[in-house]
Amino acid sequence: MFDPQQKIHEINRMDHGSARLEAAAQAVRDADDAGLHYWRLYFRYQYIKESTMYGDNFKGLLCFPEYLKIFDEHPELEDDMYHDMMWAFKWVIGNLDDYYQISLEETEHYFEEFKKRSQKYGFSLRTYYMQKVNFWLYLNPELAADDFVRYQKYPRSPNSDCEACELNFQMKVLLSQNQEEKALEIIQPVLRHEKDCAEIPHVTYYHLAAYYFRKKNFSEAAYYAALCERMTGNKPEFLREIGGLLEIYSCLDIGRGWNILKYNAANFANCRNPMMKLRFAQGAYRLFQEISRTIETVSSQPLCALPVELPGTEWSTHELAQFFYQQASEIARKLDQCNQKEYYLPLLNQPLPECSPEAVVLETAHSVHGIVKKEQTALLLLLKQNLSPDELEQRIQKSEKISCYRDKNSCYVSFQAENILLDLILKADSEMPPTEHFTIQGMTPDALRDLLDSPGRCLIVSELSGLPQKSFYAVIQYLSGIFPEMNGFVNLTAQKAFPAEWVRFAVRYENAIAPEDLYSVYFARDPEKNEIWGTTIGLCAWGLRELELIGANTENFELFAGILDQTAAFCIERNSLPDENECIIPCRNAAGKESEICWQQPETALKAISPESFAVSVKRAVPSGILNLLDLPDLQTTVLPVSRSDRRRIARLAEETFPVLVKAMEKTAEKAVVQLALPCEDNDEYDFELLWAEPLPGGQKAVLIEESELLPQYHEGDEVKIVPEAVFDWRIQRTDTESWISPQKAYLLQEDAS
Amino acid sequence: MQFKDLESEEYGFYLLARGEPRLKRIREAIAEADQRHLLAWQFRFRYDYLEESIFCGDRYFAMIIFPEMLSLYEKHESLRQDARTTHDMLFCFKWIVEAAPEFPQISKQEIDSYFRLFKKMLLEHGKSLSIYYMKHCLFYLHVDKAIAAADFYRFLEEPLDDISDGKALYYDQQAMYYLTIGEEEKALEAAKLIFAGKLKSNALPQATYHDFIRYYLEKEQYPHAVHYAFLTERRVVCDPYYLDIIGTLMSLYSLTKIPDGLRLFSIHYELYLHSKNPMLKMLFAIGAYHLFRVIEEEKYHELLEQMRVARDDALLKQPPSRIAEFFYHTAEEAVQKFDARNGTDDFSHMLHLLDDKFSTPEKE
Repeated sequence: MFDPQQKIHEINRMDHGSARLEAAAQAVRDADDAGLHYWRLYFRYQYIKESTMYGDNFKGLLCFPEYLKIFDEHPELEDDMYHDMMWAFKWVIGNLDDYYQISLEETEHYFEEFKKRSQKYGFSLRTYYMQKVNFWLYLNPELAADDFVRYQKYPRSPNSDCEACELNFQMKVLLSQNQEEKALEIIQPVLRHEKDCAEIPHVTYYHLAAYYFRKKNFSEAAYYAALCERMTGNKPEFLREIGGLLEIYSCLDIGRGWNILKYNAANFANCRNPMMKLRFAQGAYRLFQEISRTIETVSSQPLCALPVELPGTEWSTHELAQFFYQQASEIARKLDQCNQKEYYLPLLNQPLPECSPEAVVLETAHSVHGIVKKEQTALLLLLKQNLSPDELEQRIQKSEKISCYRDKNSCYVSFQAENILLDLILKADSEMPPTEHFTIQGMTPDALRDLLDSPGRCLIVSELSGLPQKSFYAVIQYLSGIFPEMNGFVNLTAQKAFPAEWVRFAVRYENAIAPEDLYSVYFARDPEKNEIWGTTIGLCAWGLRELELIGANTENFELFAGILDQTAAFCIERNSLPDENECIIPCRNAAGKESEICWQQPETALKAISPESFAVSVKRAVPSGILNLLDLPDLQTTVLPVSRSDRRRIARLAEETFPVLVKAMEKTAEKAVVQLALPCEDNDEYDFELLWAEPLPGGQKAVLIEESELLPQYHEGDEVKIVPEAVFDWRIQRTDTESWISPQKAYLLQEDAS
Repeated sequence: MQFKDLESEEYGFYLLARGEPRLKRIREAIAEADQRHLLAWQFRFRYDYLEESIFCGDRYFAMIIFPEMLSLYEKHESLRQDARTTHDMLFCFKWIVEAAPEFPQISKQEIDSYFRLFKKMLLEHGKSLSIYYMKHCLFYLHVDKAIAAADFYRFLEEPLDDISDGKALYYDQQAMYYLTIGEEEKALEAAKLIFAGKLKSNALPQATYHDFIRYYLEKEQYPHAVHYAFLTERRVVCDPYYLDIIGTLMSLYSLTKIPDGLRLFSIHYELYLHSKNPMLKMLFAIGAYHLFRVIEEEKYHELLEQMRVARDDALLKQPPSRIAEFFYHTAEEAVQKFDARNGTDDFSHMLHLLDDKFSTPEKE
């Protein structure tokens, strides 16, 4: 018997994608068999939605006419269902231009019907005109321009896109009309991260990259392409934007293009949306056309998912260019036929703007953006004994991976973790390069020396992508799996050393990895001038400029060091450096005066201070950004805000590692304190207050060591119950060093326990 | 009376005690505003009246004033054009669609039409449907569980906005729903921030605790239920808004702590008598029935006497079995009305929840 409730739960428990789509299709069939019209409509709507948002939107398109027919046949359900129907209708007309299977007459009929129904249900025509502009924007710009004017006259309607999508739409239209200034003005809320959604700013960055590429402003094109690449990852729903990036990279950086192409080859092979396929094939064709000028063949392994029959394990780049051209031209021809206009095929055959390597200027000092070309992360794994290349290969073979091959000295491995594809190059028996390491907190100089004296070494080189903390976690999780006996490792790029105990701890508690673990800060002093210069080391691994600090001296050094450290942590956490002079951290002094911490280019910054005071400089592969803090008000009392997400991370880690503290308390009489969130029951402004308390043996209760006006019912010395979820932070004192251990360093307690 | 006088008049409402004294004063203000045709104040005082009625526990008055308010709003363009008035109207609608199901005399068709109108208004004013799906789900949980399930997932997808009930109730709703489908772990996860004190509202955490008490009561996991009852009791006593929770606590205490149940009954009996909310009265009556049918006169004579001295009431002078019988029939009458309106037997199930523990009066 058909049980809609059970079906609803079943579908909603599934992850989005093909399985869920199939479950929705089954529910549609069951509802049809049961003849329950309400549920026939409900599950069809779910099916259309799932196929539009998370899968093959052609399926949704095919289902829609039937959905509309049932809706019209049952006016008794109209009141309950018209809102859903208008949303489904919008999705369908939004995707019409993707398919050559839908004729222009059918498209026009759909638009008319949508308009009629929008009016019937009192929806404004804003959405109707928006979708029309989207359809005609490149095929008939004049018509699109007229409709864009009409679109702007109508207020938002119940089935309007979100505000971020609408801003992106307006920017796209204005860019197509070469109104760059107006487009940039409109899109500011998106670029400032004030408005976003599942697609925005990803798609926005793509449109800007494509616009600047067309205008031969390659510096800006490369910048927005790099941002887009970070956001879209290798997700199949962004195949069209990824194809656009391939086209841009075919001129600007074929190495990056190749990297993106190989990870998306399978997405292309599985895609059934003609427009997405066309965009990707067009980009891949351009890319291989460029590659084939200098490289004759590429390995077939990363491209094995492609529906192409070529001989051997090395494929001709020329033939691959031909393959993608055929794929693209076939779809382009069909789309042009359907639209009764020559547009896509001529576009495919149109030459791209010429671009010399010198024009690719991400690295130049003229770029105002914080993004630079990523440097590879080099990790030196320290082992109990050396491994031969054969032994190394054997271990990797046993691990879970996507692909692996080796040459004489190195193994190349690709694996997927946390939805990120990572490439590693592992070299056995590597030499220790000369470097100055900084320990992570809590590691003694002796322990560091012992670690560096480990007899075995293996160098791992990789360009990491995705969110820094997650990506770093994925790598160390993989490495700890294949090298469980490791003594630790050194991050040569960030100049940081990590002992084995920390690795085990970080693998167990994902929240253990702090932004600070991914870079170091380095300071040098010029005693003659009482100047201290500081720099970060390691941001370059994430494609960010290193930050330099100027204007510090022995009096204000502590505050400046903290600012540099926290600024770097903020940038790592959000995985981007804002543009020059754009605020990274707003701060204020005790009097409440607000100021902003920004970075400046070296030349700009140097104008602000006397050149003589800039005492120290280093050679870098990429330019740095300068933090000039001289104009911060009242430096001694500057208050920096704490990153909310980092506070949450520490709170989660404190909760997870609280049992470690309790266990450590059993073994020692060392002083421990725990920060608890206690609810403010009668306070409208604050939900809870954080108070420090001394936990009692067993970790079930604690005695308060402070009190607050917000919690008049609690006093110092009161006993409170410890609820794990309410633990926000903790500390325990180490008697030998008299230092305090926090959740970040809980691995030191585990070490003591073992 | 000048504009400023009316404003101070409005301020004066809040200096009065909640409930009838405040409602009475607002009624007078409404009459005055009507007499002087002060449209904005006619609407505003009605809003004050409706709000007071909703939160003092007697939603009966809200049901009466709402059609007047809606009619004013629909009739006058100036009210519809005013952003604050529209916002207030949507808020009242939100309260009403929640309150209407508490009155069995309001038919399902009427409630459905309220919901449709509410949805239409939300859409017209560009608001999220989050609150619509949430309240619709609450009503349909007792009408059609499949529609409630569909509503629930739609509620999760919609963004929260200024008409929504806020983050705390967003999670409370999730916890409640997961408990109704037996997904205790998910419910605990949803309630985590509420239990940790990080999210709260006027009715939380007590309403969330109540959901868990009901769940554990049904699952016969009484120690768990008692744990939450301990946390709930001090937050709900003497408040007519929570007569339903008092009813549930009495049901629980009938199995675990009879003296505490009697104490609760004695404190709240007066509130029960004065309440005009059929749903709250029914749930209180169910709890009282569960409690009194297990009380033996001899064993709890002293406590019963204390209650009888405190409340000079003919019913309470009766032996416990007669009191149980009275509450059974009172509750049964209301249960039949609610279940007939909803087309289900949810409340009947609630009335007979503990039948396997004891025999019903009829069987005696």
